[in-house]
Amino acid sequence: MPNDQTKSPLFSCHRYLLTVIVYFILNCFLPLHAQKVPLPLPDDQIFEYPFNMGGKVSSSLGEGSGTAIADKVVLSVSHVFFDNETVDWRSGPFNWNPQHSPTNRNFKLTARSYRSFSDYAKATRLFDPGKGNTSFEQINLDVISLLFFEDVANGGHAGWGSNLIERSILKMIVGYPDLGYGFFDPRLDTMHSTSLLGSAADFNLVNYNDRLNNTRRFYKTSDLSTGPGNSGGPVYGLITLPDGTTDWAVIGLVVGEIPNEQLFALGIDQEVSELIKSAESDTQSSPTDDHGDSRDTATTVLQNSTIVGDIETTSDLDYFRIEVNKPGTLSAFTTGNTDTIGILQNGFGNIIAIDDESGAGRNRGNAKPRFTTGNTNTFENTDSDEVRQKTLGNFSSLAADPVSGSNFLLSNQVDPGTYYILVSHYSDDGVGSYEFHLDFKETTLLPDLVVNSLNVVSNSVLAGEKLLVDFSRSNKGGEITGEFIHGLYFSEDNNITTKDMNLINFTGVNISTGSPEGNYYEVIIPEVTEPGTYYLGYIIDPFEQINEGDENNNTGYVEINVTDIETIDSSQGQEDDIIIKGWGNVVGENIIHHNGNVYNQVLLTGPFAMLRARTDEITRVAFLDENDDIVQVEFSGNAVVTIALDSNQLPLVTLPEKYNQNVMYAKGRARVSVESADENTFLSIYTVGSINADNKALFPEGEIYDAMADVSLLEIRNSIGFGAIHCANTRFTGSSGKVGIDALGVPVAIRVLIGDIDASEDAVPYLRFGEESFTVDAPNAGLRITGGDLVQSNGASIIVAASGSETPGFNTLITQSNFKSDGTLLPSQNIGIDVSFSNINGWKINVISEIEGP
Amino acid sequence: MLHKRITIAAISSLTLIIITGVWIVFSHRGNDRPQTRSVSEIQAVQESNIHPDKVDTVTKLEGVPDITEGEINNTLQVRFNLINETYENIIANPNPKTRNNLIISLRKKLISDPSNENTQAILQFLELGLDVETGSGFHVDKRGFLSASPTFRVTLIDVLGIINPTMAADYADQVFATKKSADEWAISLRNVAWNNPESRGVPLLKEKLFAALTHKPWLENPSAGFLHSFDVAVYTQSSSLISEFTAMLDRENSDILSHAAIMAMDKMILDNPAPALNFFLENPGLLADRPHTRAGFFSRADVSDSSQGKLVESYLAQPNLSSEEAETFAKLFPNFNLIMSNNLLTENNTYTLSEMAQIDRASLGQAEDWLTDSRYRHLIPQLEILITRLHDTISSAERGGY
Repeated sequence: MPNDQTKSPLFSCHRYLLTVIVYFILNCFLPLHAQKVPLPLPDDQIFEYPFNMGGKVSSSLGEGSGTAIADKVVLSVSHVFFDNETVDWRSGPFNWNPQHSPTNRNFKLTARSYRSFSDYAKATRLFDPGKGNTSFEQINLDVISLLFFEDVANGGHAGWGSNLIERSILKMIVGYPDLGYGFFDPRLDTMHSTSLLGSAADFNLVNYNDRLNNTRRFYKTSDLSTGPGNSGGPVYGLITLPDGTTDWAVIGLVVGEIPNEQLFALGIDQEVSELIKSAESDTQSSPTDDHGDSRDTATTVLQNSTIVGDIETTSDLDYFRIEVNKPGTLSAFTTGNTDTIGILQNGFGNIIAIDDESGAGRNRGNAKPRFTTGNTNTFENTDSDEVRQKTLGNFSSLAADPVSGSNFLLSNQVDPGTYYILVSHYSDDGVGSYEFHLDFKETTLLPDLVVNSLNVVSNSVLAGEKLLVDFSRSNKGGEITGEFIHGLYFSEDNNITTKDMNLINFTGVNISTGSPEGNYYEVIIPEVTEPGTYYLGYIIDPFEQINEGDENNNTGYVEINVTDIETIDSSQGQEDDIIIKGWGNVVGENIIHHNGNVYNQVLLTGPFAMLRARTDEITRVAFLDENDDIVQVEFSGNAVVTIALDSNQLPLVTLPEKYNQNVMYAKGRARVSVESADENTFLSIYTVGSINADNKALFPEGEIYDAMADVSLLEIRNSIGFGAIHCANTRFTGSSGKVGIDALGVPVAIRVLIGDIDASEDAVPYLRFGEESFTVDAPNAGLRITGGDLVQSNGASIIVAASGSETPGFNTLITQSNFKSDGTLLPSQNIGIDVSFSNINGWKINVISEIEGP
Repeated sequence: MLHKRITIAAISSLTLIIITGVWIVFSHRGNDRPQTRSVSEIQAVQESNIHPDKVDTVTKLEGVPDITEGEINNTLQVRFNLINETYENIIANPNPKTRNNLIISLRKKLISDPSNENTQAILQFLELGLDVETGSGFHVDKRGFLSASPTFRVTLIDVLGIINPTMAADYADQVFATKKSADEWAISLRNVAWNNPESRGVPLLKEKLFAALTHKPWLENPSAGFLHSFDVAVYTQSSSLISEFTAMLDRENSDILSHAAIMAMDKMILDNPAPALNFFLENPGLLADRPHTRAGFFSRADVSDSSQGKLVESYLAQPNLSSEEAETFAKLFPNFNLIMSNNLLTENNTYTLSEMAQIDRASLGQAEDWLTDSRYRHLIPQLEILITRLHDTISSAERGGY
């Protein structure tokens, strides 16, 4: 084998003397290029690392240089093997002569196959400039890996690293420029090397937007000249290892040269890395990848297990396979300091869910440096006894985020089947280790009744007084429940059992999986109760009629204080109260919205509430409409606002079945009345949807929403004016009485936005404001119908003016597009001829309408 | 009088033809070019379309109060704005690198959150029909995702396929409804395939791919995406499309088409050799003028599979097989050389050294049988080249421990 050859010290000395002479000549007579040319290596150096990893490649087209980049892989350039004249690959043989020298020039290994880039062949077919020249398109991917059955460097190989060529590190170019120097070079056909090149300035990045419309990166330098035959020769870089030592690694390869002008090198980047890794992987008996890169090579993991993983290279993907036999919740996440992304796929590879950083360490800021040192490269190597090699491992400090790893967390309900989870690094150039955790919780087939919520309208109550309680339950099991009992209890302690005082029992029937049910009920606190702390309890299935998956989650309680008359909060009834009367709870006060506004959140708990807004604050009232959208009515300024729900909509209080929220809401079609308003009063009605709610966890996946607030009427009376009405997300509907907006004699200063009005059966549609409305110059002023068409189901004319008047409160009716609160686009509608307007007397009134926007 | 009427009619007809022609030209131009709106127009759309309630007012649309400031990024409106702002920034920054960075940033934000909001935001933007060239090519990464895309819309369609294959497949119908963009077709074909992994969406994919491959404007000016769509033929194992691919080799100025067509056929053979090789045998006129290419294809066969072995035997037994073609076959068979590429739907097939050694041995045994078979008497010189070569490679394999 090549490195078994012995050399005469005299011969070696003689050769080296010649080298020095050549060096001297070059320096004296070619000053412009004095530092540019490679010089022949002394014999003893040829067999030292990294030079002993070099060699010569050849095909019937010619010769070039190469490097043992893996045990059985040589890295070189494609243009030694691709025939530009026939625009096709030579069929072989492709030979490798390691540590080539005049004395072993007849030794060769023949490659069994090669791997190269399609784009190189394409570029050559399209942009070959002719014999002896090369195009930038060809330069870009002029690289090949040759695969051999036998070791190409006695079982060793050079270390290599990607994205290092730009670094300010020592570099040198090695190869066989055997025809380059004529009589100046006394050692033709031997390995040459440049002197040490000092800085990154030796190689300048060229970003070239080529004629294939690809942005490519290669490097050029005018400080070097090698010569024919050096193509494919490695650019070595001196790398500092984690332990502080240094060693040489291949960081690029020579791909071409304009003689005495520019030398072009291709840096090892991600694409080249993948080519190397592909060859390396298929020539190794035991691949270094711990978990496969594809579903076919995925690592099977058991349910409820943890496994260590490593993103070994920047292109590494780790696939895990999970077999699920029963429906359940599959949760997968990583821990550790590596910034991972997880993708859950079904057995066919369809993506079910992706998560980036819902797991541990999620609060990494985007601007935070991901790397702890300047190293962003992968440098890999293996041990060898024969050849000087380093067990360098992976010294990349990528993804070593010392604060938090930013792990993913996937949690999805799944049916039986095969699933895959793909773990990759967040960063395109990131690597690192992690622990992969897989949890699976089977969905129990038995029903499982649970207490969802238990609330009281007030925690202080007089003995003998009514106390409004809302309570809810759901079935988290797999089967429906059948009929069962649930009841409220009064207890002196928080251990609620059937031995406590039973206040009331109810009968529940057939709750299916995931369907919450709620009630509200006024219990009477026993009159004989002494003041003190007590507990209102709720027990579902107290007599255990239902065989449940979990019998220990059927009880809830809430603490209450039974007081005597003297201790009742004397602040009730103060003038600054938000709720003047009716059914409602202030569930949040002085909340500062991110827009700077301060609001007070009220939950409507019964059929109506009369409210006001504090000075410079907003009152916001929440309830459910008939389509189970959460509706918010907001107002500010002077006004007394009454929200009354249609009493036909009982049961009045329920959980919002379309939202992930354990809060009981009153439900019904609202009628909103406003009194004592002026030009500083503003009011909005809208639904809580994905487009405006900041808490996206509210919205179950796949849930479909009406996403419009369905109310019947907004009536403004006894008021001297109004600022603006924002009901773009509101649909005024009803089958009797007034439907729409009626602000008779009340001028609205800025604008009125209305989603739509639709009266059916006996209802009468209204769109009436005081004259002198819309006098304030402001953006989007006027009356605007946002996505609706004002067509009335009952064909009625819309009342726009008072009795005897033919003058509506607006000059022009503007229509425009809008989004529902789930993001559905509502395009602008024409106000067609089937829409008519009149006063209360039935006199037809012509209304000018115009469409604004698309 | 009659003459005058005819003249008037002729002038009228000519005028109508000119007007129609001008209309066609302009409407055609409008269809072929990305529609680019000015920034101010976009802003106007935004102001008027999205949430009239957002205009200056004391109260604003808001959800329930259990919110954090950081989570606001998940709203559809913010996502739509993100897409639109990126679009406008791309228009404002002609530098390809800047544009590429903007695209990369947008992709990461959208892909890391495959929420319904992002899906809806993408669809809403796509509905607007706006587009701008990014200055980048059509680059596919190893997962079949685009690492660079030529237009903003292609970027969004790619992301849509990643985060919501079902909606992306639905949207593909809109893309397929016209032939405005071969790149959009390519990525939509991928999306359809991703959404139909069980059936591989074969009928629809085949139908649409055939429509693309026979669309003359795309053949005359093939985009990178168009060429990448050939991978759909590999994915669907559409050996019947080999006729279309071989026809591309004969087109004028077809270097780029030829390359992609040869690559597609080679990958089809690597993926499933028998149907494609059989197609060539049944259509001996195909590649008749490219004997080396055909030899390369047949050298892919693995004769340890008897069905493939029979196909190779039929190939070699062809009376019109030239000695040059047979020699090329002898120098390559069995051919493990790989031209690597990232593809929309398929992965690169590779061989391990163990597999190569195993196939080499089977091939040598087969070749030695052929040498004694009278049907291949005319190929004895080529078979001897083959056998000698395989002896060498097997010796090498044995030295290497295979």
